[in-house]
Amino acid sequence: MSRISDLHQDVADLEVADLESVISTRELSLRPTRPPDHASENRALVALVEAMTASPDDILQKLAETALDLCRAHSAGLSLLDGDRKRFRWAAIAGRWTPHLGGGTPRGFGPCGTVLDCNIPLLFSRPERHFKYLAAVAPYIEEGLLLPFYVGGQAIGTIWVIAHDQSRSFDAEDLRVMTNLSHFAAAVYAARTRQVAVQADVHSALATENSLRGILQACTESVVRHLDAALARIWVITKDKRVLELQASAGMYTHLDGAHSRVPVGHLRIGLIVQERTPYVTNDVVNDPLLSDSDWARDEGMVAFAGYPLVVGGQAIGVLTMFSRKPISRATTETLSTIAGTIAQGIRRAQGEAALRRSEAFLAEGQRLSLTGTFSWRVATDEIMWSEQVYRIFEFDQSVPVTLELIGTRVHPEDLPLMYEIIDRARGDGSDFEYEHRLQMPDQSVKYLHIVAHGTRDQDGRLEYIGAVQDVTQARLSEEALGKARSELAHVARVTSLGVLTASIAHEVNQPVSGIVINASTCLRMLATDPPNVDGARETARRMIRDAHRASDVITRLRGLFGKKDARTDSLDLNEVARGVIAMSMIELQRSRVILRLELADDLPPVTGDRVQLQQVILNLLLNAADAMSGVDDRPRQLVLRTERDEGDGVRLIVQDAGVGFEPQCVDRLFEAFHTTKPGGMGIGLSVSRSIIESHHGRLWAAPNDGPGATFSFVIPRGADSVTAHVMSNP
Amino acid sequence: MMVNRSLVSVVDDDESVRESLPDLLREFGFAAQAFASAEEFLASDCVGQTGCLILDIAMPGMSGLDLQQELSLRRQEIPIVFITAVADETVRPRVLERGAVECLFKPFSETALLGALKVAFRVN
Repeated sequence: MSRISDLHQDVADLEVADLESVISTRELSLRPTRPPDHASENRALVALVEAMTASPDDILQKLAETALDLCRAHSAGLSLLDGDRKRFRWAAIAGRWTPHLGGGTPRGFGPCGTVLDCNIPLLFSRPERHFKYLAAVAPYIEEGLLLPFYVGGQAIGTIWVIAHDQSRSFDAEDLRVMTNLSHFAAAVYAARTRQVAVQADVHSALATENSLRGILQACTESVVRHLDAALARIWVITKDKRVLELQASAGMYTHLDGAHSRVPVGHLRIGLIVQERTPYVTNDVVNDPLLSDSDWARDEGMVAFAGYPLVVGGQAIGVLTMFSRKPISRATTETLSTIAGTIAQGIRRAQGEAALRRSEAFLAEGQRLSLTGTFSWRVATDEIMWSEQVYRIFEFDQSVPVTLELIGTRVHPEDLPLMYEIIDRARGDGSDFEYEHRLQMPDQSVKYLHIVAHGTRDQDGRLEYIGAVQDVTQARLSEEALGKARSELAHVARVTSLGVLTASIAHEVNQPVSGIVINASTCLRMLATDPPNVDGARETARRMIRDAHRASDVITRLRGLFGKKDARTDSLDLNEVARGVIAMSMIELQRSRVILRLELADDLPPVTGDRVQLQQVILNLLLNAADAMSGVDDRPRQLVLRTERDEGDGVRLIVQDAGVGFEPQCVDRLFEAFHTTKPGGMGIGLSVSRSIIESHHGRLWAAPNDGPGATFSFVIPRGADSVTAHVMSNP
Repeated sequence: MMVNRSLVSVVDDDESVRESLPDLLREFGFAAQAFASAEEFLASDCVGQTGCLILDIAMPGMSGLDLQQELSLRRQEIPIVFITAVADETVRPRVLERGAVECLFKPFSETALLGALKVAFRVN
């Protein structure tokens, strides 16, 4: 270090020498020349080319080392002009000056600048005599041989070798070797610059272009701009992997239609490149029939072609090609190879993003159109997530955090118990749920929601529901109108049919009865005459007996109408019968906002009976239960349908409601015909039901619940092998 | 032509009425004839002689109301007492409006029948 400061001191004291006096280029030709070592030189150049493909980023350093080696210099390096062209940066240094890597000299005042100004190689001796700042750089320069290098007519930098003492002086052979290296450096630099530029373009396209086509078009344009391509194109494989579709074209053609817009995989050169996932490069385009029309190639002066498959995850998803009017260099193929990989990944990513965007858009649009939203609910923390559409349905702003309380403010007051019931049950067993409830909006309008949710547990056993909410208001309103019309119709039909039934019963019975009355009158008159007409009276009495029998026959016939004739005996699974009834009555039960809980035993023995009749009984019990709860708004309208094995071999079916119930002392009257507690009721359902169950040798009974409501149960013994007609025997 | 004012014709598809009612009518002092259908009655020679027609409403074929209309068309103004086993209250005002003397619901009493017959013969 002392040496540097001493030197610095010395130099500072010196007069500034003329530029001419530090340049001694002429001496190169005067000095004795060492013989050229072509073998070493060739080896070095080959090594450089290898290095350029293996590690292109280190190529300048390799170049410096090669110069150091071939010229047996003490230091060697490359100076490159900075972006603003105001300074030379020592981009690569080998030898004793290595510590100065990254340093540099001003463009306007330094040996490098002089070399570029003169545009010839120069030999400097003790240049610090003129360029005083060099005195601070150790070790000092005894001799420096500098050569300019140009790329595309533009000065880029210098390449140089230095001797730090007089043990080494450069000669004409060094000048020759360095001239070769400077050409090589220029080519390397140009290639490297192109490579960097193309790669930068590709990355920038991937980052900024929105569409896949935009990305690919920018890539082909970059290939044309930087890699001397006359035409650059990219094809992408279709979904079915059969055809390549032209997606980008730059250079002499920019259209995407035409003869080569769709090329089957395996056809032509580009189809083969994709099929074999192997690049193809030729500098003899005219003689490759798979590549192009040879006339076209000749007319256009096409010389070279390079095609690289776009491979990602082992699959070729497209091909990048270029035609050139100049032979394609190794540097260019290296660049194509690099960007092909980047482009392939870009395509895959863009396709994935497009697919994702599309599916997101589909989902949102689907939710909007179907008026269906999705939600999730973490039970332990009550974290609730809503999709956009659920917010729309509930008419809340999307910034509002969702809580059960918030939901509660929208739920129709009459349906709140139902909602809490569902929530409690969901918390309890994590079972799936499906129900309908109403919302009451701030403007008092009512919405009907159908909710389905599936409970899942994560690996820690935490329960989460994922569900869908559908706004079924329109459907429900029409259904309700329809239901109302239907029940009115049903009521009319019921009244009508019963009216017809009673009328025909009355008609059938009244005929013989009126005969009896007339005969009785006649009989009395005949007996009241003097003398009494005993024979006539006897005749009328006989007719009375006959008419009374006729009346009795009518009743018997009516019994037969409901009885044995229609009863079928099948082996039945009572659960299955019950499910059939539930399927039929689901709409009605939902409309009545009944929460149905099924508790069907799975060990139920089959019973023998009439399916339709038993369905009528179950339906009757279910609808009675629903009716009994129609006025209930302070508690869930819960209806339990349970089946179980009865002691012995029978089966039992239980229907439990939470409705108005009945007084225990009324239990017997319930089953009387024409006894009803319902304004619209006819009072025959339970009596018919009891008759049906009795015809199955079973029992039907009712009991008030401990809490609200009533429970109706029936038992049918197993294997009742015949169903007898007791129906209608009660009235 | 002399009309036998005391003839009461009974038209009813129900056999027990056809058997019993003429006997009672005779006990009352009327002559009585029974017919099983409206067609049978129209085909008989009793139409012109009938002073009162006891007519069932619901019958197979021509109904009691059809017969009433047919007689009206033939200008046979026979007083009609309808009898019916169908307890339909709306039927009574309807037939009375169309000129019937009375409408009795089966089973009817002797008193009700006598009352109706009295009206029928007084009208005529």
